[in-house]
Amino acid sequence: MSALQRLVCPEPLLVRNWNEPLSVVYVPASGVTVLVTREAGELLSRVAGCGNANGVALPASPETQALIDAGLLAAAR
Amino acid sequence: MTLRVGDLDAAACRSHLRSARGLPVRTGPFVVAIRSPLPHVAQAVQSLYRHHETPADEVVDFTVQVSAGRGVRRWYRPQAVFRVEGEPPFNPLPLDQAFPLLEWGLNWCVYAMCHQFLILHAAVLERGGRALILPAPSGSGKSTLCAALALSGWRLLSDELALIRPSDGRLLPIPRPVSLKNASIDVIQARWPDIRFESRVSETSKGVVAHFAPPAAAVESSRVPAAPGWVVLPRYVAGADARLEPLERAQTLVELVQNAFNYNVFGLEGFELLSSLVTDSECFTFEYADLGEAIDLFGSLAHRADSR
Repeated sequence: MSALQRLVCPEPLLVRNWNEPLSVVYVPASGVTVLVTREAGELLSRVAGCGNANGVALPASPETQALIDAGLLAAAR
Repeated sequence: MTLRVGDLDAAACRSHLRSARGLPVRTGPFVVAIRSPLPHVAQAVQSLYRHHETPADEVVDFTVQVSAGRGVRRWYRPQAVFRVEGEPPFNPLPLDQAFPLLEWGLNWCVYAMCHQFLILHAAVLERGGRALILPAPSGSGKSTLCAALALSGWRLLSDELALIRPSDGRLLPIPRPVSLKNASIDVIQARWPDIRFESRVSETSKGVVAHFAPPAAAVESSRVPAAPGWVVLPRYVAGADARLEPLERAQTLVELVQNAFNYNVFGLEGFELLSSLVTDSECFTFEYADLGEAIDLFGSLAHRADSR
């Protein structure tokens, strides 16, 4: 099993999905609108919606790594 | 009774255009005062804006002017200068391009200054109360398709600018002269020989440009907004059969963002508006070569929506 990591959204964000393979994410702080996979959108929704300063525990995966690389997720401190 | 530009005779139209106040013209939610001493501009305005109201006592949203350049340019390669509120935002163009310059300048006034609306670079038409939004870059065949649909029973809201009202997400009409380029002019003229093209100018940055007046019914109903119905990204492909392919809403939203003039001005509200718009719309890509097939296909789309 992949190692768990606790992740937070460094900026507040909104996720919209329409039960289609792609979702969009909006980052109000930067005004950036990003196209992501539905799975990535669901991950972001979980983290963005948790309101937990300690972040959400997620398994390390290419999906989470891509979101970390895009700056949409970051390791919780 | 409301006076329309076409009610003025040529002398009266020229006189208004030469006056300090200009000729007020209602175009959708705006009243624009147009000033120009140039006879060929006067002729084009009188013909292409003939269906538009010219309100006498309303507040003007912006005053635009197109006139000949001064100095030696009066004799050597004369130029046309566009001004808004007395200031020239662009470089001058050759004098024979004065009317297209006026139209491009008016577009600029709307998308650069009218941030009460979220504005997309898109043609918009309407059937059965639903707006068909055609966002696309130049060269996609958007203008030709828009012109053909506007002449085939669809109500023209705009061939260039989609104005989205933030309070309810509806599309506001801003019908103005329809601009076509290069081969599109002959394609439309061949299919609708009664259409009168004006102000045909060659050697512009876009090639040959000509305009025709928007249908009278479109101008007369320019206070009637439309709810989002379809977002279609058109693409002219020589030899292709007309074909609509569903496009995911997320992708459609990103396309709309890329075609928005002032999305960044609206921030989160802009995202919410475009999210609602794609939620309420059927979204497609569209390839076509033959206008007849395109008209039939869009007719079927509207009919299908009517029968639901």
